[in-house]
Amino acid sequence: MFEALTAKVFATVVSLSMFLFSSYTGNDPAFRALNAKAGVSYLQFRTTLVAAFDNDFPDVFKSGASIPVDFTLQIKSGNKIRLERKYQNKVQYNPSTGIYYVFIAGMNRNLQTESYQQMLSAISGFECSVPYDSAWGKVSVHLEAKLPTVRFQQINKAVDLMVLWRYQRPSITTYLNLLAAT
Amino acid sequence: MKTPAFGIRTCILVLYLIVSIGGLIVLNRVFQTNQQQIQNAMGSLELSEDLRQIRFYSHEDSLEAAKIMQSFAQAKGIVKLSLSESRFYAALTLLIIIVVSSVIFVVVLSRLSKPLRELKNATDQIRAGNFSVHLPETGIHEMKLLKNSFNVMSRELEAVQTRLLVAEKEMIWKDLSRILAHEIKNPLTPIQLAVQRLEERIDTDPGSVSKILNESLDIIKQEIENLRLLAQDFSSFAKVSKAQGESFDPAKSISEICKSYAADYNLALDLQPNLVISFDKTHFYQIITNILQNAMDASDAEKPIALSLKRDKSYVVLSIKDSGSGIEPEDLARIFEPYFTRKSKGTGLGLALVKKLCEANGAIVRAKSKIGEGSEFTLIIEEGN
Repeated sequence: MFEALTAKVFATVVSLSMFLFSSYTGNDPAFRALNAKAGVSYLQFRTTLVAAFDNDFPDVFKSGASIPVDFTLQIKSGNKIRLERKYQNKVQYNPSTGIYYVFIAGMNRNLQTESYQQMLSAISGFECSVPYDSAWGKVSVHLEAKLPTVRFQQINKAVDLMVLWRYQRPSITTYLNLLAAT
Repeated sequence: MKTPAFGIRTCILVLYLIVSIGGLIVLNRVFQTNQQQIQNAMGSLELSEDLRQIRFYSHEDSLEAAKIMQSFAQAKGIVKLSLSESRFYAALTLLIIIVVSSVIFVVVLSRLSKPLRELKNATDQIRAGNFSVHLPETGIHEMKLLKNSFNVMSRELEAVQTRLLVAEKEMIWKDLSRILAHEIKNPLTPIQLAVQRLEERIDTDPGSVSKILNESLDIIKQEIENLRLLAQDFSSFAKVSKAQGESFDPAKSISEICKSYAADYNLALDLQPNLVISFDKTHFYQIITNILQNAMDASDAEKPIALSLKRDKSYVVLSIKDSGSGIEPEDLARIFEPYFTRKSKGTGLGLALVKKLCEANGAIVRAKSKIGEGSEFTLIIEEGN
């Protein structure tokens, strides 16, 4: 909780400093509505990140470094965490072949494509299935995305990719009644 | 509305902040613009996609070309990221500098202002007569020195005040002793002379003693009465009782007081009737008789003494004016001081008592005088119900 609060305060300070003293636009990532579907014993979630990879990312993707995107899914009933899962989508470009290698963690699927748009759509998408217990009753489902720090071997320097998102962590919350789902 | 006054210290600090922060903002703007230009230039640096399609003669050449392309793409990505990072952190650092310097500014300002406020309060206390004020010698070096200097000054002032009080007390006692000795000696001399005369007559001509006996006894009785009055004067001044205010018409009281003097003195009364004051009646009597007695002592019996009573707004103003020789300006300033007198007979307590009684009843007494024309005493009393 303290970490989340610190992150929010820091993001606010960053936004303020960007607004006042910088023409740097960066990106304003956000989630589209979180679609939730309840099966017999599994919950299926689907959403997409928008406006997350527009500025500066094309060159970063094309650098050939492996670029990960972290997702954290948390299901809570009341204050009790019922389930927490972390997923990491990844994309890596091969400049000599022009192929993007994408790993979609939620579905545990690999994709190879030459199309930048297709790669973008794959890396921005989030889709997963998690087991649930109807006894959890009313739950809140919270999904958050962030970018990790990446070390570039060429300059032997770690760069926090969150700079490109101006330290804003896009998140979305939806509420489900699992008793009604069954 | 009162506008706050800014001192030179505040102006300098504000100016420093404006110049330093303003300079940083300008510098930041320059760097941001330059970095934007570099980033734009970086965007146009592209290795053509066609390069990938070129068939190289050897596998090694193809690998080398792929390596170059990979290296170029990676360098471009890193440069773009670094530029974004530097622009981002430059803005953030600037914000932090502004916040931190503003906090330091406020802290320094308050740390400088607090001891100055303390010093101002302390000087106010000194002005009010409290010399025992002591400031804790804390704060920055210069402030410690200033406070130390202030404390030394207040201690010296306190010592001087104590010495002055002792000297004043001593002087009062000396004056009092002198006056008392003088006032007691005055009636004692006629008594002694009367007794000596009687003794001489008894020795030389006992038969004619009865001729001077009554005269001598009258002198002795008169002087004993004078001594009694002297004692009464001192006693009245020492024991001014707490005012027991009661409502009455001052015109009636003044008329009654004047009745006993009317036969011997020329009193001109102009008293507005139906005024009411709330005053201690005994004090009022003492005040009027004292002022009246002074007026009578100062002027000849046939010269008029004018008493006027009138309302002025919510006050009752009583004026007693004689046609005597007047009071010297340097004496006028001291006439309400205890034991001050220029009369050959008198303790100098009459007008001091008047002032004390007026204060006890919330009234004001003023005196003005012109040499050769006479003196006027004015009593200002709040009108009561």
